Amino acid sequence: MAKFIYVFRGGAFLEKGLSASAMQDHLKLWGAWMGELAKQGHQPAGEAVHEGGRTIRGKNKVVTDGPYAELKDLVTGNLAIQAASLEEAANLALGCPIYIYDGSVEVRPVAQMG
Amino acid sequence: MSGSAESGRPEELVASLFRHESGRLVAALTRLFGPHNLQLAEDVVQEALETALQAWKFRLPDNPRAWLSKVARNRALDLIRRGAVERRFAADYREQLASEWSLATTVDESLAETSTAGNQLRMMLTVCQPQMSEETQVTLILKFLCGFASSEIAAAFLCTEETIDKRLQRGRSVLRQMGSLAPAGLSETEDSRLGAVLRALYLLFNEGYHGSHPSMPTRVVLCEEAMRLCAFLTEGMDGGSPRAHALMALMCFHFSRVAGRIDADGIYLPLAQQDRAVWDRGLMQRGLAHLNHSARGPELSALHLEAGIACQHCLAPSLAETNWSAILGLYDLLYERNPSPVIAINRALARAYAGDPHGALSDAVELADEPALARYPFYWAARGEIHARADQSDEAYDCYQRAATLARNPAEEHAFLRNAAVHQSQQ
Repeated sequence: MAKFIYVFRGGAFLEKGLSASAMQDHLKLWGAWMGELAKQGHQPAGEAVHEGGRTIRGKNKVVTDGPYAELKDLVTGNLAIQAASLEEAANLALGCPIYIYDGSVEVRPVAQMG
Repeated sequence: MSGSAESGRPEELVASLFRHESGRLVAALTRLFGPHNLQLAEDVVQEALETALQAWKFRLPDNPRAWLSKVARNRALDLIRRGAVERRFAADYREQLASEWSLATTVDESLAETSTAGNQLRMMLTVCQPQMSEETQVTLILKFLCGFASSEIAAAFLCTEETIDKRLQRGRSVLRQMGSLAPAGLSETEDSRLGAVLRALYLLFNEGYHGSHPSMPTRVVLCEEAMRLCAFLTEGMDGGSPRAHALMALMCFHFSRVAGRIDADGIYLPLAQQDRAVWDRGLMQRGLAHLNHSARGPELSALHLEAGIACQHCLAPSLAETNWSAILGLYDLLYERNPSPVIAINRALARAYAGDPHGALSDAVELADEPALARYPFYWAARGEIHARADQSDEAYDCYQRAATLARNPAEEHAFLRNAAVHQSQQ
């Protein structure tokens, strides 16, 4: 098994004005996906991030408010999982509900330290 | 915040948590902000739910309701601190919110679990204003207490989203004139307001129980919401008002039979053919308990009588062993109180079952020209049943056919045609 990181961008979290039922229904899909990953032993551990923040950039360390990105490219969280291969990790990411609201998942192998 | 999905188990999220929390928090914040700031309360709650949607996707917090309360609380404190000078909050909380000394405690008290029932009770009394139509009152209840969106309410009532938005606009403009939520106490003067809430909840329940939706003859969620909100009235105020207990009893008795009313093909089953074994005995017991509580006051309202009728149906081991004379007596009292054609045809049907089909028939025929019954399929179905009990198969067949042409959904239509077919085969 190797470690992979999913980087989530966009999704329902950036969609304003969803109804309470729509939000709950969507959250349930995340719950089902997370539950399945855990059940199959992929040990998912994730962190969601709020909107806003600061970006520091360049030699001059220019600090600006907020991440600069199109909404759909805005990072909305990341999740570490265990998988046998990049193929398996990418396949598992197909089950994520983020695509319903036009989000994306970037699947990256974590560098091994020895 | 990091953790495995196993500890959070988001799949166990209560099915209606977001909607119900929306109702709870909107009521708590409107109590502080005042009905004229309803939109502000809604915005805070929407933001809290959106924050939860983002934060909970990998793992549920240990106490989702407390989590939401805290987010709403912090946002409310922030808004009050920033805007207290120019904004006018609820008249009865203005002073407490204006001072840092009492601000946090006041907000916490309104958001506390112990305030939940009282806040929502006051919110219901507030949105059932006499100058609004009953449809508008029900729409406001569904929006602000049940957390449904306009599109969802429109789908439930088979009308356009525009119609719902217009009702909400009308309702909001009335609420904007109000400085505080209605008080929760039940004095004589507030009795008419309580009546309006009970009527609105009954309407909501009926829309779910025998509504006019073409593809879904029963919408359980509307019935459940009516019962959930009625519980604020039966539990919230000094043991509850007798009429609220009567309505709750009525809803329990009706809802206990919901599983037997429709067969596997989605067709209504007449009472005679329903499998009484699938009726929910636990809910009937609850109904009986509420019926007992309802008898505490001196009052015998129409709701009491209707609950009594529903109770007789629940207690009967079979259609033949039903206490029809008791039911007929209750219908007589109900008709005295409210001489409506719909009650009259139901009374006639009870009369037929109580052993007097010919008397019932003349009652039913007399009602044929009532404008209120002209497009009412159940008039013709009841008349068909009365003809059948008077051994008049041809007439029964014709009446059921006529009922079928007036049916509002396929479940009704199939049920009437099936009854018609029974009497055709006997010709």
